Amino acid sequence: MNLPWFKRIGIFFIPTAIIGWLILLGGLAYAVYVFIDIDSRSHSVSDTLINFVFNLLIIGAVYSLIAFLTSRTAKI
Amino acid sequence: MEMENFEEKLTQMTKPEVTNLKHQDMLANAITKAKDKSVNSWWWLSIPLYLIVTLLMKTIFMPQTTLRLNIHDFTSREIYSSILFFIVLPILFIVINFISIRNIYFLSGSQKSISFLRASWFNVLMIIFSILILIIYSL
Repeated sequence: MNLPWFKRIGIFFIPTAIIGWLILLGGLAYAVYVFIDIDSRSHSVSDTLINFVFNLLIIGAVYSLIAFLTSRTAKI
Repeated sequence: MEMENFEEKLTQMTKPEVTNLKHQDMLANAITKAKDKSVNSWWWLSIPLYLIVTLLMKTIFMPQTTLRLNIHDFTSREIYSSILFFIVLPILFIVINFISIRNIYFLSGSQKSISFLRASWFNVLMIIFSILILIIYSL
């Protein structure tokens, strides 16, 4: 597969290839699923947000690790 | 006749010019890599920093507890997560960012200049955050 899949702009990695966009959309879909799951079990808005932000940071960290590893062109 | 040609050739000759130095490419590559690594560090270090902020908020809203007590409580409940987020990740990112800064430092000719600081300030910030996390955890 042709690298790079992402390019870095500031503190964010932006997709530059279709597979990069698929990873981003997968991450966003998982974040929405996690939010709905946490919201169904929590007792207050703050309870939802505190737990969701923690999960969102983990999703962001894993996404940034994948993006970091695939944001370089392969050495010839 | 031949001598004239030679003189003409001499006047047309210029010094060999290298417009793009390999060293410049290496330095630019090292700076880009260091910035990518520092951004990755930021995302991973934001998790323990967020945990510390939530534990600090808990300490503020529950005056009978202390930050130290809350961290110990969290550690006893989440042993592996706490070791990963409060010990392994900060140490790992201190090493990674230190190596990145060292590479830029050597490639920039070991100069302590403003441009060197501008290229590596985010890496330095990540090292400071990592040390801060280690200090708070070891309280």
